[in-house]
Amino acid sequence: MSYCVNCGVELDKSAEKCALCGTPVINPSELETRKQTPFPYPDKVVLPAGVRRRYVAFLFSMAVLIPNIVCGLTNILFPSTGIWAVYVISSSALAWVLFIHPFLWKKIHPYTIIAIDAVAAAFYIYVFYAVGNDEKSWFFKVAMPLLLLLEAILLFMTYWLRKKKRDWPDITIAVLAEISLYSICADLLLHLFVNGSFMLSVSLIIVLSCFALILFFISVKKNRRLRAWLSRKFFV
Amino acid sequence: MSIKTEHTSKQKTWFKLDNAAKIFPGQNSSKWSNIFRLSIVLDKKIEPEILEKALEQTIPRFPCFNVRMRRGFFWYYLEKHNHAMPPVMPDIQNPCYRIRWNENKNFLFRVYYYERKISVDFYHALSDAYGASRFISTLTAQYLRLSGVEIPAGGSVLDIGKKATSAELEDSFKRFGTSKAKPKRREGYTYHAKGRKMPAHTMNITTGYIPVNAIKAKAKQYGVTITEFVAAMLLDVLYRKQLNEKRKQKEISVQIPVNLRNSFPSTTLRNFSLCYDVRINPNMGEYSFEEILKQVSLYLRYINNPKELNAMMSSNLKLETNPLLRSVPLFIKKIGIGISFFLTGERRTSTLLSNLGKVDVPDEMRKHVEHYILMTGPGKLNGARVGAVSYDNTLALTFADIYKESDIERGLFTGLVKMGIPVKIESNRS
Repeated sequence: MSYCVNCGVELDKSAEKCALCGTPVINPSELETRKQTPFPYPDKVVLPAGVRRRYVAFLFSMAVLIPNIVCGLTNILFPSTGIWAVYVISSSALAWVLFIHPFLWKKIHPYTIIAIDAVAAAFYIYVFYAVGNDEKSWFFKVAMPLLLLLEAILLFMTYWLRKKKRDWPDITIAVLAEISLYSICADLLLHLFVNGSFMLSVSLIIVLSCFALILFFISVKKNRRLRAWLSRKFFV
Repeated sequence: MSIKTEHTSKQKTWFKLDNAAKIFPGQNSSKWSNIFRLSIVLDKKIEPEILEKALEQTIPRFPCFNVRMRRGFFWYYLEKHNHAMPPVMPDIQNPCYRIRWNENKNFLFRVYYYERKISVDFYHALSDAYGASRFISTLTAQYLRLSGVEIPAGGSVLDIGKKATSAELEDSFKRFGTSKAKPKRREGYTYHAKGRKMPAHTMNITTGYIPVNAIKAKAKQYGVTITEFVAAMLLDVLYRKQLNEKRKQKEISVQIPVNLRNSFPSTTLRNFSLCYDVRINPNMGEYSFEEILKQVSLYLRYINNPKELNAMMSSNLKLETNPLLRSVPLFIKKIGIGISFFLTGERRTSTLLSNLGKVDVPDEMRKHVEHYILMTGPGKLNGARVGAVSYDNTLALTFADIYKESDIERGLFTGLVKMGIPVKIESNRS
């Protein structure tokens, strides 16, 4: 029999180290016994299946579907009340695509899901554009370019994050830079659409704030003590 | 107090969950269920085919285990199985993982074998450790009989030739919970030893085998019982750990389930136990081990009397019988129980010490059984929980720990070694 020199407890014959402190067992007279004695527990670990998320997602889908059908039918039966059901149904459809449908996939494919989300968002905005009967073509001149830009940023961010594990200051800097870029583009497009000229106004405030924060996080990245202090203070 | 005559029960096709079991399905989550494990180590390697046969022959004796969980509109209930048999599986390193009603052929217990060990993971809604020990002892006795050993019924081995009596299948809480007193149980949140968490569904198991006569002699020296002694040691380890952490000191408590069959004449195989919390408050000043021991022993002796237990039982029963609560649909009840478990549950206890006590088996069986092991399920917040069972001259103390660190286990076992009590360790830590 072997005893742990550190804890003083007797150890199982198969033990290669003490289960309490990890001290290795070195007992030359029991090498053979150790090999022949089976471990007290098997190696096999069984991890049970996770939540049946596809089933739950299906139930939620059904729950969303029923009030929408009721709304649609009511609107058809009472056409004099206007085309209000379109807003309800399109909003529900967008919420379903954004929040429920990803769980119906067997395996999550982030790029496909982002693409589907963008198409759903475009349709959603188009419904408002088409039903609203606006003369100005804001959908093509403003909404679509901004949506495509957001899509591109999201795709890039997904790719960048999946490529390798990123440090939290890097992620913060990337997000701030993307916010700046998006606000500049949005500002320019809106000014072009409204005034007919390229101009920057509100976005300058956002860009300057983001820039200051970016500088701060770059210094955080370089200063290990500051970084450690921040991690300590603001851990979630 | 009426004492039921022991007549055999009619074949019941369904059971209401007993009073203690009512909350367990509500506590279930995708990562955790209230499960515990009992194992028996024999002198020979287990033959799975014989074990399967033994299980087939044992199950009819335990109608309250031969059930599956069903949803009613207001409560869950247990429904009898028709001709199904639970699978006998090779053991795994991570027992007591979460339960799901439609797995394991809908059975609420899982039977495993490994080398010389038979283990059963029981969902707590079926029974407590007492009922479980009857089941596993009877199963093992039948296994040994089929292997050619003559074993009579006796001790924790039930006669499989007889049918279960109605007293064995009753909800004893309902029979004995007759008190009109309203005990107040408002306790604050307690300290929880933290560490690096093991991945979901896995845990570290460490069993220490201790000679009963050695630990009993030590406990006697202090004038306490084994449970009181181990509980005090556990409190002491946690108390010193918290002191070393140099943090705001919180109360430390050990939850100790108590077998109500010792205080009330019940032979039920279903749940019939309640939990006490033994606490110490480090803010009151420094504690020596002797002081902790005194506090634990005095408190347990003060509270462990039938009147106090009856009052606790009755207050739990009142929740079940309250017409307002009864009429709430199950899905809302389930959410309510889940929230209350999250807010109170383990937050009010630092750890758990479940001592099944001494398990007795017939002499013919004793020659073939080396150990009994009781493992409580891993906690959600309680790091190291302890299950204890005495058999022959061995007390098996088993830690189920959700953290990678083993300082609590080490503190307790080395503490025993320092007192001159030998400890033999085995673990699933590779």
